[in-house]
Amino acid sequence: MSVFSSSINHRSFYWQISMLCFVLGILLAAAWHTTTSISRSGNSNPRLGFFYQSPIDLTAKNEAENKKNRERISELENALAHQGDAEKTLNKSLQDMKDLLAITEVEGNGVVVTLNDSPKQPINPADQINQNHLIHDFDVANVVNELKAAGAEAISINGQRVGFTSAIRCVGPVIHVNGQGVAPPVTIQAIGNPDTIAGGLDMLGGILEKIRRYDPVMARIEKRAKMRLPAFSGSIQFQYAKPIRPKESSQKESTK
Amino acid sequence: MKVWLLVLSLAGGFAVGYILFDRFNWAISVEYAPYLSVAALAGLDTVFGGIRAGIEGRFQNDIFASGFVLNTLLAAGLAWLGDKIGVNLALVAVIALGTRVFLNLSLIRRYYLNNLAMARSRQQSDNAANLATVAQKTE
Repeated sequence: MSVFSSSINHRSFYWQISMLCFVLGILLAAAWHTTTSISRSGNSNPRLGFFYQSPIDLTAKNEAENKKNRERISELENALAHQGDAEKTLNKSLQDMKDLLAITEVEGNGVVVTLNDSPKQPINPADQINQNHLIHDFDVANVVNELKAAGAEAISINGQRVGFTSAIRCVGPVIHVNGQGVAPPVTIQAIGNPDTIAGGLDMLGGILEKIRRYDPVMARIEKRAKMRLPAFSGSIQFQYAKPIRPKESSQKESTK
Repeated sequence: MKVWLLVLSLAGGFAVGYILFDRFNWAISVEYAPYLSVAALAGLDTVFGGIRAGIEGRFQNDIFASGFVLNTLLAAGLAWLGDKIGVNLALVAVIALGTRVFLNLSLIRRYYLNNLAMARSRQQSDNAANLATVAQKTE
Protein backbone atom coordinates (compact mmCIF):
# COMPACT_ATOMS: atom_id res chain seq x y z
CA MET A 1 0.00 0.00 0.00
CA SER A 2 2.70 2.42 1.04
CA VAL A 3 4.76 1.59 -2.04
CA PHE A 4 1.75 1.99 -4.28
CA SER A 5 0.71 5.31 -2.85
CA SER A 6 4.23 6.71 -2.75
CA SER A 7 4.87 5.73 -6.34
CA ILE A 8 1.65 7.28 -7.54
CA ASN A 9 1.74 10.34 -5.31
CA HIS A 10 3.71 12.97 -7.10
CA ARG A 11 3.30 11.90 -10.65
CA SER A 12 -0.45 11.80 -11.03
CA PHE A 13 -2.31 13.55 -8.29
CA TYR A 14 -3.79 15.69 -11.04
CA TRP A 15 -5.31 12.61 -12.64
CA GLN A 16 -6.96 11.53 -9.41
CA ILE A 17 -8.29 14.96 -8.64
CA SER A 18 -9.55 15.17 -12.21
CA MET A 19 -11.55 11.99 -11.78
CA LEU A 20 -13.27 13.37 -8.70
CA CYS A 21 -13.64 16.70 -10.48
CA PHE A 22 -15.85 14.84 -12.93
CA VAL A 23 -18.05 13.63 -10.07
CA LEU A 24 -18.03 17.13 -8.59
CA GLY A 25 -19.13 18.46 -11.97
CA ILE A 26 -22.14 16.16 -11.95
CA LEU A 27 -22.94 17.23 -8.39
CA LEU A 28 -22.72 20.90 -9.33
CA ALA A 29 -24.89 20.29 -12.38
CA ALA A 30 -27.51 18.61 -10.17
CA ALA A 31 -27.53 21.55 -7.75
CA TRP A 32 -27.58 24.05 -10.61
CA HIS A 33 -30.38 22.28 -12.47
CA THR A 34 -32.52 21.91 -9.37
CA THR A 35 -32.06 25.52 -8.28
CA THR A 36 -32.82 26.92 -11.75
CA SER A 37 -35.86 24.70 -12.22
CA ILE A 38 -37.19 25.83 -8.83
CA SER A 39 -36.71 29.49 -9.69
CA ARG A 40 -38.23 28.86 -13.12
CA SER A 41 -41.39 27.24 -11.80
CA GLY A 42 -41.39 29.49 -8.71
CA ASN A 43 -42.96 28.56 -5.41
CA SER A 44 -45.35 31.49 -5.31
CA ASN A 45 -46.61 31.20 -8.87
CA PRO A 46 -46.11 27.74 -10.33
CA ARG A 47 -48.61 28.43 -13.11
CA LEU A 48 -46.44 31.00 -14.83
CA GLY A 49 -44.32 28.43 -16.63
CA PHE A 50 -47.45 26.75 -17.94
CA PHE A 51 -48.67 29.96 -19.54
CA TYR A 52 -45.30 30.87 -20.99
CA GLN A 53 -45.29 27.54 -22.76
CA SER A 54 -47.71 28.23 -25.56
CA PRO A 55 -49.00 31.76 -26.16
CA ILE A 56 -49.26 30.86 -29.85
CA ASP A 57 -51.35 27.80 -29.11
CA LEU A 58 -53.64 29.90 -26.94
CA THR A 59 -54.06 32.52 -29.65
CA ALA A 60 -54.80 29.87 -32.22
CA LYS A 61 -57.32 28.32 -29.86
CA ASN A 62 -59.02 31.67 -29.26
CA GLU A 63 -59.20 32.32 -32.97
CA ALA A 64 -60.71 28.91 -33.61
CA GLU A 65 -63.25 29.55 -30.86
CA ASN A 66 -64.15 32.93 -32.30
CA LYS A 67 -64.61 31.36 -35.69
CA LYS A 68 -66.85 28.70 -34.22
CA ASN A 69 -68.89 31.33 -32.38
CA ARG A 70 -69.28 33.37 -35.52
CA GLU A 71 -70.42 30.31 -37.44
CA ARG A 72 -72.86 29.66 -34.65
CA ILE A 73 -74.27 33.17 -34.93
CA SER A 74 -74.73 32.82 -38.66
CA GLU A 75 -76.35 29.44 -38.09
CA LEU A 76 -78.82 31.04 -35.69
CA GLU A 77 -79.47 33.87 -38.07
CA ASN A 78 -80.09 31.44 -40.90
CA ALA A 79 -82.47 29.51 -38.69
CA LEU A 80 -84.38 32.69 -37.94
CA ALA A 81 -84.61 33.36 -41.62
CA HIS A 82 -85.93 29.89 -42.41
CA GLN A 83 -88.37 29.32 -39.57
CA GLY A 84 -88.34 25.54 -40.02
CA ASP A 85 -84.88 24.98 -38.50
CA ALA A 86 -85.44 27.35 -35.58
CA GLU A 87 -86.67 24.77 -33.12
CA LYS A 88 -83.81 22.41 -33.81
CA THR A 89 -81.18 25.12 -33.48
CA LEU A 90 -82.67 26.54 -30.30
CA ASN A 91 -82.76 23.10 -28.80
CA LYS A 92 -79.12 22.53 -29.68
CA SER A 93 -78.01 25.79 -28.06
CA LEU A 94 -80.10 24.92 -25.01
CA GLN A 95 -78.30 21.58 -24.75
CA ASP A 96 -74.94 23.35 -25.05
CA MET A 97 -75.92 25.67 -22.21
CA LYS A 98 -76.86 22.70 -20.06
CA ASP A 99 -73.48 21.08 -20.74
CA LEU A 100 -71.69 24.27 -19.67
CA LEU A 101 -73.74 24.40 -16.46
CA ALA A 102 -72.54 20.85 -15.69
CA ILE A 103 -76.13 19.62 -15.35
CA THR A 104 -75.61 16.83 -17.87
CA GLU A 105 -73.58 13.65 -17.56
CA VAL A 106 -70.30 13.70 -19.46
CA GLU A 107 -67.64 11.18 -20.35
CA GLY A 108 -64.06 11.41 -21.58
CA ASN A 109 -60.40 10.83 -20.80
CA GLY A 110 -58.82 12.33 -17.74
CA VAL A 111 -57.20 11.87 -14.40
CA VAL A 112 -58.27 10.39 -11.07
CA VAL A 113 -56.70 11.90 -7.96
CA THR A 114 -57.15 9.93 -4.75
CA LEU A 115 -56.51 11.71 -1.46
CA ASN A 116 -56.46 9.65 1.70
CA ASP A 117 -55.56 10.06 5.35
CA SER A 118 -52.16 8.79 6.41
CA PRO A 119 -51.97 5.89 8.89
CA LYS A 120 -48.84 7.46 10.40
CA GLN A 121 -49.56 9.35 13.62
CA PRO A 122 -47.93 12.81 13.77
CA ILE A 123 -44.89 13.08 16.06
CA ASN A 124 -43.71 16.57 15.13
CA PRO A 125 -45.61 19.27 17.14
CA ALA A 126 -46.25 21.32 13.99
CA ASP A 127 -47.80 18.27 12.31
CA GLN A 128 -49.91 17.63 15.40
CA ILE A 129 -51.25 21.18 15.52
CA ASN A 130 -52.03 21.29 11.80
CA GLN A 131 -53.31 17.69 11.74
CA ASN A 132 -51.14 17.08 8.68
CA HIS A 133 -51.92 13.37 8.60
CA LEU A 134 -55.54 14.11 7.59
CA ILE A 135 -57.02 15.26 4.30
CA HIS A 136 -58.66 18.63 4.86
CA ASP A 137 -61.24 20.61 2.94
CA PHE A 138 -58.55 23.02 1.71
CA ASP A 139 -56.52 20.13 0.30
CA VAL A 140 -59.51 19.11 -1.82
CA ALA A 141 -60.22 22.74 -2.75
CA ASN A 142 -56.59 23.32 -3.73
CA VAL A 143 -56.57 20.21 -5.92
CA VAL A 144 -59.81 21.28 -7.61
CA ASN A 145 -58.36 24.76 -8.15
CA GLU A 146 -55.21 23.26 -9.68
CA LEU A 147 -57.31 20.97 -11.90
CA LYS A 148 -59.27 23.95 -13.22
CA ALA A 149 -56.06 25.89 -13.84
CA ALA A 150 -54.64 22.91 -15.76
CA GLY A 151 -57.66 22.91 -18.07
CA ALA A 152 -60.00 20.30 -16.59
CA GLU A 153 -63.42 20.55 -18.23
CA ALA A 154 -65.47 18.50 -15.78
CA ILE A 155 -64.68 17.61 -12.17
CA SER A 156 -66.43 15.41 -9.65
CA ILE A 157 -65.58 14.64 -6.02
CA ASN A 158 -66.75 11.26 -4.71
CA GLY A 159 -69.63 11.37 -7.21
CA GLN A 160 -70.49 15.02 -6.54
CA ARG A 161 -70.09 17.02 -9.75
CA VAL A 162 -68.43 20.39 -9.26
CA GLY A 163 -70.72 23.07 -10.70
CA PHE A 164 -70.09 26.80 -10.66
CA THR A 165 -71.97 27.20 -7.38
CA SER A 166 -70.25 24.26 -5.68
CA ALA A 167 -68.56 24.94 -2.36
CA ILE A 168 -65.99 22.72 -0.66
CA ARG A 169 -65.94 23.25 3.09
CA CYS A 170 -65.09 21.68 6.38
CA VAL A 171 -67.94 20.49 8.60
CA GLY A 172 -66.37 18.77 11.59
CA PRO A 173 -64.94 15.40 10.64
CA VAL A 174 -66.36 15.45 7.08
CA ILE A 175 -65.95 17.64 4.04
CA HIS A 176 -69.06 19.05 2.42
CA VAL A 177 -69.29 19.27 -1.37
CA ASN A 178 -72.58 20.63 -2.75
CA GLY A 179 -73.92 20.26 0.78
CA GLN A 180 -73.28 16.50 0.73
CA GLY A 181 -70.86 14.86 3.15
CA VAL A 182 -67.68 13.44 1.69
CA ALA A 183 -65.09 11.50 3.70
CA PRO A 184 -61.60 10.22 2.84
CA PRO A 185 -60.60 8.47 0.65
CA VAL A 186 -61.59 11.39 -1.55
CA THR A 187 -61.65 10.43 -5.21
CA ILE A 188 -61.49 13.43 -7.52
CA GLN A 189 -62.22 12.68 -11.17
CA ALA A 190 -61.35 15.26 -13.80
CA ILE A 191 -61.89 15.17 -17.55
CA GLY A 192 -59.31 16.98 -19.65
CA ASN A 193 -55.89 16.44 -21.18
CA PRO A 194 -54.44 13.76 -18.84
CA ASP A 195 -50.78 14.74 -19.38
CA THR A 196 -51.35 18.46 -18.80
CA ILE A 197 -53.39 17.83 -15.67
CA ALA A 198 -50.97 15.29 -14.22
CA GLY A 199 -48.07 17.64 -14.98
CA GLY A 200 -49.82 20.54 -13.27
CA LEU A 201 -50.50 18.50 -10.16
CA ASP A 202 -47.02 16.97 -9.98
CA MET A 203 -45.21 20.29 -10.40
CA LEU A 204 -42.28 21.05 -8.10
CA GLY A 205 -43.60 22.97 -5.12
CA GLY A 206 -47.11 22.15 -6.28
CA ILE A 207 -50.20 21.16 -4.36
CA LEU A 208 -49.60 17.43 -4.19
CA GLU A 209 -45.98 17.83 -3.13
CA LYS A 210 -47.15 19.74 -0.06
CA ILE A 211 -49.57 16.92 0.79
CA ARG A 212 -47.03 14.20 0.05
CA ARG A 213 -44.42 15.85 2.25
CA TYR A 214 -46.04 14.28 5.30
CA ASP A 215 -46.65 10.86 3.71
CA PRO A 216 -46.37 10.00 0.00
CA VAL A 217 -49.30 7.60 0.34
CA MET A 218 -51.73 10.46 0.88
CA ALA A 219 -52.03 11.54 -2.77
CA ARG A 220 -52.18 9.31 -5.84
CA ILE A 221 -52.67 10.27 -9.49
CA GLU A 222 -53.97 7.90 -12.15
CA LYS A 223 -54.59 8.68 -15.81
CA ARG A 224 -57.74 6.99 -17.04
CA ALA A 225 -59.58 6.70 -20.33
CA LYS A 226 -63.36 6.88 -20.69
CA MET A 227 -64.64 8.09 -17.36
CA ARG A 228 -68.28 8.90 -16.79
CA LEU A 229 -69.02 11.87 -14.54
CA PRO A 230 -72.47 12.45 -13.03
CA ALA A 231 -74.52 15.61 -13.49
CA PHE A 232 -74.49 18.47 -11.00
CA SER A 233 -77.27 17.78 -8.54
CA GLY A 234 -77.57 21.07 -6.67
CA SER A 235 -80.02 23.78 -7.56
CA ILE A 236 -79.06 26.73 -9.72
CA GLN A 237 -81.49 29.59 -9.21
CA PHE A 238 -80.95 33.30 -9.18
CA GLN A 239 -82.70 35.25 -6.46
CA TYR A 240 -80.65 38.41 -6.38
CA ALA A 241 -78.71 38.55 -9.63
CA LYS A 242 -80.82 40.12 -12.37
CA PRO A 243 -79.58 39.26 -15.83
CA ILE A 244 -79.16 42.19 -18.21
CA ARG A 245 -80.23 41.38 -21.73
CA PRO A 246 -78.77 43.52 -24.48
CA LYS A 247 -82.13 43.73 -26.30
CA GLU A 248 -84.07 45.03 -23.28
CA SER A 249 -81.55 47.72 -22.47
CA SER A 250 -81.57 48.99 -26.04
CA GLN A 251 -85.38 49.04 -25.97
CA LYS A 252 -85.38 51.05 -22.75
CA GLU A 253 -83.00 53.56 -24.20
CA SER A 254 -85.09 53.86 -27.33
CA THR A 255 -88.31 54.42 -25.32
CA LYS A 256 -86.69 57.24 -23.40
CA MET B 1 -0.99 21.94 -19.00
CA LYS B 2 -2.15 19.88 -16.07
CA VAL B 3 -4.55 22.52 -14.77
CA TRP B 4 -6.56 22.23 -17.97
CA LEU B 5 -7.14 18.56 -17.19
CA LEU B 6 -8.96 19.60 -14.01
CA VAL B 7 -11.00 22.30 -15.73
CA LEU B 8 -11.84 20.00 -18.61
CA SER B 9 -13.03 17.11 -16.43
CA LEU B 10 -15.07 19.52 -14.27
CA ALA B 11 -16.71 20.99 -17.35
CA GLY B 12 -17.26 17.50 -18.77
CA GLY B 13 -18.89 16.29 -15.56
CA PHE B 14 -21.07 19.37 -15.45
CA ALA B 15 -22.15 18.91 -19.06
CA VAL B 16 -22.90 15.20 -18.60
CA GLY B 17 -24.81 15.84 -15.36
CA TYR B 18 -26.80 18.73 -16.78
CA ILE B 19 -27.75 16.83 -19.94
CA LEU B 20 -28.77 13.79 -17.90
CA PHE B 21 -30.92 15.89 -15.55
CA ASP B 22 -32.47 17.79 -18.43
CA ARG B 23 -33.07 14.82 -20.70
CA PHE B 24 -34.60 12.46 -18.16
CA ASN B 25 -36.29 15.29 -16.29
CA TRP B 26 -34.88 14.17 -12.97
CA ALA B 27 -35.82 16.51 -10.20
CA ILE B 28 -34.80 16.76 -6.61
CA SER B 29 -37.58 17.83 -4.28
CA VAL B 30 -37.61 21.52 -3.33
CA GLU B 31 -36.89 20.86 0.31
CA TYR B 32 -33.74 18.85 -0.46
CA ALA B 33 -32.26 21.38 -2.91
CA PRO B 34 -30.28 23.35 -0.26
CA TYR B 35 -28.63 20.14 1.01
CA LEU B 36 -27.50 19.33 -2.53
CA SER B 37 -25.95 22.78 -2.86
CA VAL B 38 -24.11 22.38 0.45
CA ALA B 39 -22.88 18.95 -0.71
CA ALA B 40 -21.58 20.47 -3.95
CA LEU B 41 -19.74 23.14 -1.95
CA ALA B 42 -18.16 20.44 0.24
CA GLY B 43 -16.97 18.65 -2.91
CA LEU B 44 -15.49 21.90 -4.19
CA ASP B 45 -13.66 22.38 -0.88
CA THR B 46 -12.20 18.86 -1.01
CA VAL B 47 -10.96 19.31 -4.58
CA PHE B 48 -9.19 22.59 -3.78
CA GLY B 49 -7.75 21.03 -0.61
CA GLY B 50 -6.48 18.14 -2.73
CA ILE B 51 -4.81 20.44 -5.23
CA ARG B 52 -3.14 22.35 -2.42
CA ALA B 53 -1.93 19.14 -0.79
CA GLY B 54 -0.60 17.92 -4.13
CA ILE B 55 1.32 21.14 -4.67
CA GLU B 56 2.78 20.90 -1.17
CA GLY B 57 3.80 17.31 -1.92
CA ARG B 58 1.68 15.62 0.73
CA PHE B 59 -1.17 14.35 -1.43
CA GLN B 60 -2.56 10.97 -0.38
CA ASN B 61 -5.16 9.43 -2.63
CA ASP B 62 -7.02 7.51 0.10
CA ILE B 63 -7.39 10.58 2.28
CA PHE B 64 -8.52 12.61 -0.70
CA ALA B 65 -11.11 10.10 -2.00
CA SER B 66 -12.57 9.34 1.44
CA GLY B 67 -12.60 13.05 2.25
CA PHE B 68 -14.55 13.80 -0.91
CA VAL B 69 -17.25 11.22 -0.22
CA LEU B 70 -17.51 11.75 3.53
CA ASN B 71 -17.36 15.55 3.46
CA THR B 72 -20.13 15.70 0.87
CA LEU B 73 -22.39 13.33 2.78
CA LEU B 74 -21.55 14.89 6.14
CA ALA B 75 -22.20 18.45 4.97
CA ALA B 76 -25.58 17.51 3.50
CA GLY B 77 -26.42 15.34 6.53
CA LEU B 78 -25.48 18.05 9.03
CA ALA B 79 -27.53 20.63 7.15
CA TRP B 80 -30.50 18.25 7.19
CA LEU B 81 -30.05 17.54 10.89
CA GLY B 82 -29.82 21.28 11.56
CA ASP B 83 -33.15 21.83 9.85
CA LYS B 84 -34.71 19.05 11.92
CA ILE B 85 -33.54 20.51 15.23
CA GLY B 86 -34.14 24.13 14.26
CA VAL B 87 -30.53 25.34 13.92
CA ASN B 88 -29.35 26.62 10.57
CA LEU B 89 -26.33 24.34 10.18
CA ALA B 90 -26.42 24.78 6.40
CA LEU B 91 -25.27 28.37 6.90
CA VAL B 92 -22.48 27.20 9.22
CA ALA B 93 -21.32 24.67 6.62
CA VAL B 94 -21.37 27.34 3.90
CA ILE B 95 -19.24 29.70 6.01
CA ALA B 96 -16.74 27.05 7.16
CA LEU B 97 -16.34 25.47 3.71
CA GLY B 98 -16.31 28.82 1.92
CA THR B 99 -13.50 30.11 4.15
CA ARG B 100 -11.44 27.01 3.43
CA VAL B 101 -12.03 27.26 -0.30
CA PHE B 102 -10.77 30.85 -0.32
CA LEU B 103 -7.77 29.99 1.86
CA ASN B 104 -6.76 27.08 -0.38
CA LEU B 105 -7.27 29.16 -3.51
CA SER B 106 -4.99 31.90 -2.17
CA LEU B 107 -2.28 29.35 -1.31
CA ILE B 108 -2.51 27.75 -4.76
CA ARG B 109 -2.27 31.16 -6.39
CA ARG B 110 0.76 32.06 -4.27
CA TYR B 111 2.48 28.83 -5.28
CA TYR B 112 1.94 29.47 -9.00
CA LEU B 113 3.09 33.09 -8.75
CA ASN B 114 6.22 31.94 -6.86
CA ASN B 115 6.96 29.40 -9.58
CA LEU B 116 6.48 32.03 -12.25
CA ALA B 117 8.83 34.46 -10.50
CA MET B 118 11.45 31.73 -10.02
CA ALA B 119 11.24 30.74 -13.69
CA ARG B 120 11.62 34.37 -14.72
CA SER B 121 14.69 34.98 -12.54
CA ARG B 122 16.26 31.72 -13.81
CA GLN B 123 15.69 32.87 -17.38
CA GLN B 124 17.27 36.22 -16.60
CA SER B 125 20.35 34.59 -15.10
CA ASP B 126 20.53 32.26 -18.14
CA ASN B 127 20.34 35.24 -20.44
CA ALA B 128 23.08 36.97 -18.48
CA ALA B 129 25.24 33.83 -18.70
CA ASN B 130 24.61 33.60 -22.45
CA LEU B 131 25.56 37.22 -22.89
CA ALA B 132 28.73 36.63 -20.94
CA THR B 133 29.75 33.63 -23.11
CA VAL B 134 28.95 35.57 -26.28
CA ALA B 135 31.07 38.44 -25.00
CA GLN B 136 33.92 36.05 -24.21
CA LYS B 137 33.73 34.52 -27.72
CA THR B 138 33.77 37.89 -29.45
CA GLU B 139 36.81 38.84 -27.44
